[in-house]
Amino acid sequence: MKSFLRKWGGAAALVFAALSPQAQAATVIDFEGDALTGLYLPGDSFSQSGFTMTQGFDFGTVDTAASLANAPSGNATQFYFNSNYGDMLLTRSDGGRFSLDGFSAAFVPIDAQLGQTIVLVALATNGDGNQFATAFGLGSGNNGSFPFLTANDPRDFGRFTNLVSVDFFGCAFTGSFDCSATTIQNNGQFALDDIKLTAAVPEPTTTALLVLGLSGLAVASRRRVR
Amino acid sequence: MTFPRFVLAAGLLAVAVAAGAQTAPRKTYIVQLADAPAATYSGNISGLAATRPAPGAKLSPNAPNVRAYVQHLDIQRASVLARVPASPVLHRYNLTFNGFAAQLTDTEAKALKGSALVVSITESEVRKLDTTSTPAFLGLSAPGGLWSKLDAASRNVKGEDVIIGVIDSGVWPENASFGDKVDVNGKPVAYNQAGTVAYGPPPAKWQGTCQAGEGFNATMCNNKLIGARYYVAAFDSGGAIRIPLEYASPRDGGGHGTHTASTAGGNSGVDAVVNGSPAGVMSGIAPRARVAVYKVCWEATTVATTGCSGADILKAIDDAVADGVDVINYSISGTKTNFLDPVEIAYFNAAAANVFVAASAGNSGPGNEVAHMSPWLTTVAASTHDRQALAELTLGDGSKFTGASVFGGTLSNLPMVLASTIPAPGALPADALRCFAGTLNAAAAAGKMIVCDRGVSARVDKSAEVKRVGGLAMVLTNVNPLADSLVADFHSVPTVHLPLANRAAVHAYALTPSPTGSISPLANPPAVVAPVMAGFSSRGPNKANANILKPDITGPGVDVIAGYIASLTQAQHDALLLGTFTPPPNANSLSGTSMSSPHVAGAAALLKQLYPTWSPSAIKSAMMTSTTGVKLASGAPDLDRWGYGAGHMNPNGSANPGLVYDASASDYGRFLCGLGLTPPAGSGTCAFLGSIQPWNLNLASLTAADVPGSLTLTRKVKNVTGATSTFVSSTSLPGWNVVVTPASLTLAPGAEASFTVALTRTSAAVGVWTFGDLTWTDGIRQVRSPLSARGLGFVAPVQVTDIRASGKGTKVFTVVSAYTGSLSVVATGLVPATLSAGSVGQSGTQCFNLPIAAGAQVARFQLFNSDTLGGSATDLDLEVFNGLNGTGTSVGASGGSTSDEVVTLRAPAGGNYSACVTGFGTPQGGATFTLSSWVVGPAVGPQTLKASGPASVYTGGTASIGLGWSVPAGKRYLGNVQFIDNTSALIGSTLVEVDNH
Repeated sequence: MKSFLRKWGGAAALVFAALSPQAQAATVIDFEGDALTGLYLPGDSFSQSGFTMTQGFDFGTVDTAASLANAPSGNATQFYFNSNYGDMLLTRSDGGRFSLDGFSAAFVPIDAQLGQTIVLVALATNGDGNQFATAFGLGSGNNGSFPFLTANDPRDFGRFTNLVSVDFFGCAFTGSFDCSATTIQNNGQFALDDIKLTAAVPEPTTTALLVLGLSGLAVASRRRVR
Repeated sequence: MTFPRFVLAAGLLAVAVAAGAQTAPRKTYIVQLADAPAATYSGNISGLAATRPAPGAKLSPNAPNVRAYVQHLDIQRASVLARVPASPVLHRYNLTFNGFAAQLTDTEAKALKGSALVVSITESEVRKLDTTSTPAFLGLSAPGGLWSKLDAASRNVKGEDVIIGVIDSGVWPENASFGDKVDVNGKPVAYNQAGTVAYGPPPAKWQGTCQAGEGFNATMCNNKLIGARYYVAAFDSGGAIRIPLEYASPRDGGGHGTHTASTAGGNSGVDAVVNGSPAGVMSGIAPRARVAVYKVCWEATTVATTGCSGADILKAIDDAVADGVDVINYSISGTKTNFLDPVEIAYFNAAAANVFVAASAGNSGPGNEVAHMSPWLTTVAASTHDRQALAELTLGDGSKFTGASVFGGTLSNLPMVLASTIPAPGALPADALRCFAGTLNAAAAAGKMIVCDRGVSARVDKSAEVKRVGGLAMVLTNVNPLADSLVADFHSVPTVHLPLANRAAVHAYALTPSPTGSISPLANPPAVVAPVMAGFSSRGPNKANANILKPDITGPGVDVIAGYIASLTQAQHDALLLGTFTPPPNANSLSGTSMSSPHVAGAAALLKQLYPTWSPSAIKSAMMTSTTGVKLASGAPDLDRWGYGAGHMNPNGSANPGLVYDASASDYGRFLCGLGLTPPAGSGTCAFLGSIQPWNLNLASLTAADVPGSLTLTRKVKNVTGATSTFVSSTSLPGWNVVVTPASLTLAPGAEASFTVALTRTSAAVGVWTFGDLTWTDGIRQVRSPLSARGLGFVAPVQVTDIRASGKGTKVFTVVSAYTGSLSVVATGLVPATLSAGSVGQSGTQCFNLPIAAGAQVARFQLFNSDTLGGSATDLDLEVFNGLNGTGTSVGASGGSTSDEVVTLRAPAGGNYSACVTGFGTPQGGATFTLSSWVVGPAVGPQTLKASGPASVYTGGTASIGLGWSVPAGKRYLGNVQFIDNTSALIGSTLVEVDNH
């Protein structure tokens, strides 16, 4: 297993050069602390370090690997687990803008018969009202335990600035992206930890070109009728 | 000085016995060693070339690579045996099993367990023998039947140059079934009769031997019976005492082995004479095959000790494979649950060496007791055939009666007499009427048809008396309305057995002047409904893994006439040993899966002649996909697949199967890996092989035992038609949607293709087996596979447990759905344990009363070692009653050997209950303990346990269920999660145990 995340979607190398050096001290959401431990139902939220995590569909938990039957490896402390085909929305508790600089994540497969490769999608909404998404590969296969992988390459995260929110969810990747519930069923599970954020808001450089859609990623269509 | 020497000998004997009495008792063990046997060795040891045969090829025991490898195994074995230098070694195994059999004390067995070279140590068990016109019934002898077809060398397909090994109770060589000569009329004759040799020398692959012994010498083997060996060391070591009429040689002491050997490969056209009574002409299924017998089963002085020792059997399998047999028949009992049983492993390796093995399913039916459930074996059930056992009695007045009879001929106008009218001097007429031995008057009986009543003496003893006094035939009339069955016995004279309803008329006529009677075949015999499953035939499903269909197939196993042993006096037996007496041949009618298995072994020999390079799996596939239907006694189709597997054997159809489902030793190894078992060494490690689900093993049967809504099975077929062919699939499985992808296959000759079969349950009930078929057809051939499925409902774990010390926590577990739609998850609890302190002495009991409210979901009562004085050394037992103070009905009990006891009641009725603790093994002065009890539900107000599932579950799909709680630490809690489907039905529940104390 490679120790880095492969990235799908656009992120031009020029972003790296364009990044401003004015980022302030990073904040890390590490999900530690007994206060955060628990089960989060749709609509439930919890906060850490000035950021709020709100459960969308299905449920999430904050706990250690001991709480999971098929837990990912490489994480001895608490992390966030998103079940089934759920999603989690990250915002700044005070409504301010922020940038996303990296995170650790792992695929938590449960349905071997589907035979899918799952990617973790970070769907960002920025202060200009634009949405863009990047998909992160978490390794392929559908059996066994997966390791936590770290994503922090500035080339991937350079455009995650001036953000209002980031929605995290899983999609199937079988040559193209498929985020429909009927395809992915309940196999879109992932674990998330050490989300690196910066509350400061550097003015966006001329990065409008970075708003690149993901081919076949029908983000809007993933919403389901409950 | 003879006398003193006797004294000395007696004294030595006494000393020896005394010394023996002081040593620890020894038992016979089969010890399996780590390296692969030669049949599967792949060459992974430096300097030792691989020995496993190429696909379709035979193992060559004398090849340099095999000799070198066996030498390596010898050295390894010697190093293991060095740990137990005093142990008598009974057998050494090299080819199909790596290891040895030895008599070991408990201490020695433990010493061997310490060796890294030792894989397993298994006590050798005693296995039991599972106790014609069948070739015609099977269509083999019909015009156009398989016997009339030609192989590539233009020889009839009758088993030419195929060697059938029969591991059984030996052989009776005086039967013409085993002779290599024919008389002037072309009829086979036994070794001891003159004739013209009809067989060439044994095929070059033959490496076996003819082992002489008591009543058996090398002249009894010939170019038909090409080999004979016997194995008795382990049997004797088990303490069994052979009967005086046994033979320490390949000569059959029981008859079973002669029967099975002649059924599989006996000569055709042999006159069957059962205890002196002609019973037609009999033939083996592969009448030109060569036969080699391996005697492992012995008659002993008790029923319990009669049988065959596993350690001897392993050696026989080893030898049979080394000798070059193509097919083994194994009509001996076996495991019903253990794929790694030593005999099953030996057959795994025999199959790897391209030896086909037919095994009997067992005679424990109609219960679910099928034996030999390993997929590499062809497991055979038993059913009836269509031999007529009826004859017509015509009296002089023209009246006709139909009765049971094995006599197929005609006797006309014999003078008739009622037995009571011709008593011997001094005999009572009533005794004479029942034709007791010595009661008939020879002068009056000679040349007559004698009418005898049934009862008191054995039926065949009555005809023996008729024969003794010179009678020519018997009419046997029933007397008792409670014993009015008709039995077609092998009588000493031609006999018709009539029901009670005919008795008065026949007796009255026999008393008229000058009565006469005629016996003849029925002018218009009623159609015999066949095949019908025998009641005794052990049924499936497979108790080791229900995804593997067993039995595989059925064949004739009821009233099968084949060769047998002659009944000898002890004096004749002893004369036979001295070589001064040659016994007669004999035949007998036997029933059992022991009789059906050699039918399949013989049919496999026919296919082996036609297709010498086919694997055992391919031969099995050809047999299974060509079967015909089995009937109920009413004539309606028998729809219960557990009786017959794929169906009734159809050797003619199997010769042109179209497609075969093949599987190799690697495939069987992957199957074992998928079950979490370690495959036999030589087939590779699981890391190397990978694993497959049992329903994906490439068998010709498709069986899915627990389908959670839907399941996809994979298979691969090979075109054996010899031409490019397009096969189109069709399926039937009531209550299921079956999709085959691709739906048609176009294959070049010899080409293989994979396909999937997706099963989705529609209207079939959950938990019930449904039987159907998958058929591929090219318009000419029907390749029909049995397709069986059982749906699984919603699957949730019985209980989840969290033992972390924290008061806050979460737990995620999975469920499998049988539908698509919403799922409600309702949590109740967590309830902390109610603690009750108590104390009991030895055999004392203390009860605790507990009310349970109506609507409770679960109640639990539990004792813990950690809450009990003395811990696990103290043995407390727990019983729960639905009344106060141990009154009422016991509704649950827990009686383990420590103080960890738990009784869980689901959905208990409301009322007063009591939990009673009994001291079964307490310390001096008694044991103090704390009883924990919980009652979960009905839920009132907010609950501390939260639960959530996905927005939707999917048919056959897995989903995560999340639990969360926040409760004070330091206690044991119980909760319950209920699952409610989209029709508001409660479909499952999971107990939640949180122990943070």
